[in-house]
Amino acid sequence: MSETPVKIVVDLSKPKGQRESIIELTQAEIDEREVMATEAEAQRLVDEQAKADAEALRQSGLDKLIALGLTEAEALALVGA
Amino acid sequence: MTMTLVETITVGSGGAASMEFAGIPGDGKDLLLLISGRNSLGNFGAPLEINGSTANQSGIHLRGTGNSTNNGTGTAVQGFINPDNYTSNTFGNSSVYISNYASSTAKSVSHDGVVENNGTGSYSEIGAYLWDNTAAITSLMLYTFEGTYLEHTTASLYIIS
Repeated sequence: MSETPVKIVVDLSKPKGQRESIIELTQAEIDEREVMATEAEAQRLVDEQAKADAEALRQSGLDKLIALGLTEAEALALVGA
Repeated sequence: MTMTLVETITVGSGGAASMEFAGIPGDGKDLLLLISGRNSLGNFGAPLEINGSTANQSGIHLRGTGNSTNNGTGTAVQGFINPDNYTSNTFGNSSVYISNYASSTAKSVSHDGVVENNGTGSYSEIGAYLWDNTAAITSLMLYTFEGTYLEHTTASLYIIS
């Protein structure tokens, strides 16, 4: 595996067979990718937390419906399986 | 209507951080990008840089998870590919359709894609995007939010005329 990440560029203005270039990223491009990766990881954590929060709310609602006397099947029919 | 395959990029061993189609001729009507891809990390995205920029992009997507749906908005036109924690050697696939790419108005983009994780789940996604720029599109670059495109990932560009 290459030490330095590469980009593949196909220049369609050139004749077929001469279009493709495989170019190592510059340090600036690598730095930019690291910033994006950090942002992506932060967003993923936010998304995972939002999903966990939504599931916790759903379960809390389900538990309260059951505590009111509904069967689990009835409660699930209201909130969705 | 004629649909012409312009070029296919296939990622070789070692992967690639990005795949770019440059010098796109302006003699067509629409562009269609077909992607079969897998990311080296846990990311589903195959975002697009248009004419060397990620600016002026916006959109919304709807995703089906097999037993529920969710949606979201974003600032990147993108395809949808398998992350590396999904079943080994499987690839997600996506299409990205760009209307009136050579026109002097803002460009609308639609997308649909599916990823698979055998025996565990799958996701499908549709998206609608806008590239709010009046320039003709002359280059498209698929980059990644994180990780790289793994070997055997392909991207094919078609011109619809």
